[in-house]
Amino acid sequence: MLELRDFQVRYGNFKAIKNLSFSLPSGDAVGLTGRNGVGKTSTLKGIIGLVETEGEVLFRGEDISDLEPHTRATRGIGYLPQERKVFGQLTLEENLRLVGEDSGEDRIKNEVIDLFPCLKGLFNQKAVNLSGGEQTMVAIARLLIRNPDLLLLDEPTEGLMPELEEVLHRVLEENLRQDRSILIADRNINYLKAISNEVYQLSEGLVSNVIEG
Amino acid sequence: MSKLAFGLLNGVVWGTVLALLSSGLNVVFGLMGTVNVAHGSLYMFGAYLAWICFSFLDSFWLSLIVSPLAVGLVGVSIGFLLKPVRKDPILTVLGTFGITILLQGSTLVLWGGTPRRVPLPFDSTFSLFGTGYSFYRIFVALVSGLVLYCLWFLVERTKFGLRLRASREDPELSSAIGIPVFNLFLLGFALGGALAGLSGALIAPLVSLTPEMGLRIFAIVFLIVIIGGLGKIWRSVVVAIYFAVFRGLASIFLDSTKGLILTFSLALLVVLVNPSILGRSSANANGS
Repeated sequence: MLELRDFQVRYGNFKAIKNLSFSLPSGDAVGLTGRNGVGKTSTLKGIIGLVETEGEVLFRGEDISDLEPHTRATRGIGYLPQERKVFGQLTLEENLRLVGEDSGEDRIKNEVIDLFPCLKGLFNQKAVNLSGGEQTMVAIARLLIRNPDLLLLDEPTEGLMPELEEVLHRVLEENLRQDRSILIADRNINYLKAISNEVYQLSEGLVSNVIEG
Repeated sequence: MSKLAFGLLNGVVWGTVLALLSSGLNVVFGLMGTVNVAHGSLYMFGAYLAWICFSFLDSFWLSLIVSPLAVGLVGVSIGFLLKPVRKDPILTVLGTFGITILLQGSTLVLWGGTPRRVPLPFDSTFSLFGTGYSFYRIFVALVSGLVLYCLWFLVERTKFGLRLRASREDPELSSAIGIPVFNLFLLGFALGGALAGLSGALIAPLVSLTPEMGLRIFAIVFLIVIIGGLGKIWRSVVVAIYFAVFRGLASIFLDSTKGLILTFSLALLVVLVNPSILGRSSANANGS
């Protein structure tokens, strides 16, 4: 599904990711971990195209390095950012409508409520007024509506209560069963091990250790 | 009494055109974050197209279609030209200021500095306090109001508007969830240009056309958008109508320049006394 070859992310003279190569088959999950600033977020941003990269990013066998982020997204890559997950000035419903089909609004609402019942009754609230955990749920729901083949998740458990972490875990496992692939960055190594086949520990822009999931 | 009624009515009519023009700038500046200094010149260009349609094609009405379309295309071209610098506010101001000079200079070279006039497309009037008031002015207010309603619907009730608002708030996240931000940027420029072109065509029979008319009006429109709030279409409509009505009424008792100074001074005073009246951009107000 995804393959990185000699992948690098550079901000000016600073190399956030020095040389990363790995492949992520369909139905598999890989975790990225490490302390703050080791390049977890840069890797995910580089794959979706939000930062400039060198090397090759192959998605379903095609090099997508030169594509705009929105084209990568429409080809089947879903990205959950670590910060600013939602559009604060739009309502919860509008956040979902941004990516959903116009004709299926009721269906989407029901699916989201099934997934996260606590969002029921909040659809007309501006997203900026939701709690951090609720915002994460909205972002995850918005991500899943599009049924992407590859999920890039940056600190998805941040702000989530333990019971919602469980819900997220179930959702991700269901996605893996549907042959989707997941690349997940998190500092919580135990959470990563529970979901991923392999966890790459990053240090100074390189993989310093590979942990079996 | 009749002077007051005329001043009020003229203010409302002029206010709706100003609102239309401000809304065009608000789409480009407020919703897309680009200061298009050339917006006033696009309005001037729309007005001259009305004069060309009348003078060479003998149809003013044609300009109500030609001006928005042609100026919308110029808007898209400006969007393309700004692509390499669109994230840099200083370079976009300089770039669009250059386009202003280009449009103004071209108009001067092609059609000279002599003020041009477009006759009223219909002469019928109705009686207001015993004096005739042109139906065309009422037509202008109605068309402007209708277009403003359509614009509100487009921005607040359609997926295009939703994506435009999302792109304004967070272009990076928008792009990452599959929204083609640059295409929206071009469409926003087309829309802003079309509104400027239509405003220019509508107002052409009511004013003298000169190459500088765009630069003069830009300062007023810019102030309206800032006071009304970036991205807040309806608030800028209210401020535009206040501005035009107050200026119209002030001009009854004072001359036009003093009326303008009084209007600006009052707006400044209101902002100084109550800064919260300044509409904040959605991005700034976000807090997320």
